[in-house]
Amino acid sequence: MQGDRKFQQVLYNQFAGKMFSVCLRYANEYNSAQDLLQEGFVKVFKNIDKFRSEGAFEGWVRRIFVNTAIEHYRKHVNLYALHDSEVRSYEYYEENALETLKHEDILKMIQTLSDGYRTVFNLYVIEGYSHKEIGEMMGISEGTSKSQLARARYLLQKMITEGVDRDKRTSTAN
Amino acid sequence: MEQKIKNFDRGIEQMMNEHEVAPPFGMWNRIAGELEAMPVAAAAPVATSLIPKRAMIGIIATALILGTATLTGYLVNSSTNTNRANTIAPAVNTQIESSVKPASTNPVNQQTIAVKNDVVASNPTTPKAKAHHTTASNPVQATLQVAQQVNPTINQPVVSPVNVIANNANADVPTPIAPIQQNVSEETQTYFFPPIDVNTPEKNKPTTEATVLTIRSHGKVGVVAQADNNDAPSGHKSFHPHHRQGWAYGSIIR
Repeated sequence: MQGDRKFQQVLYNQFAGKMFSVCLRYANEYNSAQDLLQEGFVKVFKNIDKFRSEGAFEGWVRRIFVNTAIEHYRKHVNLYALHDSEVRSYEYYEENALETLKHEDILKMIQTLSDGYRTVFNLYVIEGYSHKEIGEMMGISEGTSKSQLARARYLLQKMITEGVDRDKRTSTAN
Repeated sequence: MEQKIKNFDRGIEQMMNEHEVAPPFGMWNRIAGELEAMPVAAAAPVATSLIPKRAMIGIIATALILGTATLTGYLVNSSTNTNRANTIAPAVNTQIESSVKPASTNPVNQQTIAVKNDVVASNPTTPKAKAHHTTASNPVQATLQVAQQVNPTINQPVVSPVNVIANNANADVPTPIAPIQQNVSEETQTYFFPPIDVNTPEKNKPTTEATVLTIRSHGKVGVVAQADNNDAPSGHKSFHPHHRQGWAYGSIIR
């Protein structure tokens, strides 16, 4: 099955869209996401005989892509604990702000985050890992993971709020 | 506050997970090309693994053993040849010495020694020269021993063993025969064949001159013959190398 090119192409067509979205969230630009997508699928086809059918195949594939992204950015990420590790929110953030934004807008905001903030935010908020697991995966402490997440969340809410306010001003001006 | 944050996180999660982004065009070809390149890289070890590792190890071990055995055999053979050469060389030398012994023995010296012993035995009053019966197989060594046992007198020059060894003719220096041989005049050494007159009858041939010539030519032999006969007076039989100049063999026959 590993050498069946047609089967591999079927798998690619089935999971490429979702996995490319994952890669775009972990990467800071489009080209880097392409490299992550190619590297991730090569790993999937290379290690597909190791899949034990214990869980969903999509989850197994997604985990491979996440690990690929973490390995890719681990060299460049130098995370350190921040002072504002408390779970706090941007004071001007409104809960219905997300409903007014598109997926592409949120994705671009996430990509503007630094590598550490973006990785921790993706792992905790989207992938659902705990701080302990994130610390083990990235080689950092739980406190560092928490502070990084709090800072990433604060910046995103700020960007979302400012983006919503900019859109409102633009629409009012028109 | 916390609920507000949870709602934010849930909203981001739903927005990201429910959305799919179309992969870039040609991505599958890139992935397929990389996958095709991988089996080629993996085929290289397969090509090299045509000969199993165990077989390679066996071949290398066999080659090492054969090489070691060949080298050992060569060394043993060379050492054996060296031992053979060492054992053969003394044997050859021994053979050469044993073969040289009779060849190097001068028959003239043997004869003179025999004559000397006879002369000494026949005249007890005569001062005897010491008879040296050496049984040494090496003639050079025997000569050296003889030369060493002779007591040199004042008039007799001391003979160095080195010189004796260098010249075998002087090996019998203490014997009286050697000086005789050295002091034979050229006149006596020259042999004149008597003219043979075929036409003249045997009665008319002059006998005197022929007799003298014969005596001169065989003077040495005449002395030996006379010594053997033991008829001559004892004073003429003493051998004194110091009085070589006064010997006249012809007078004995006269």
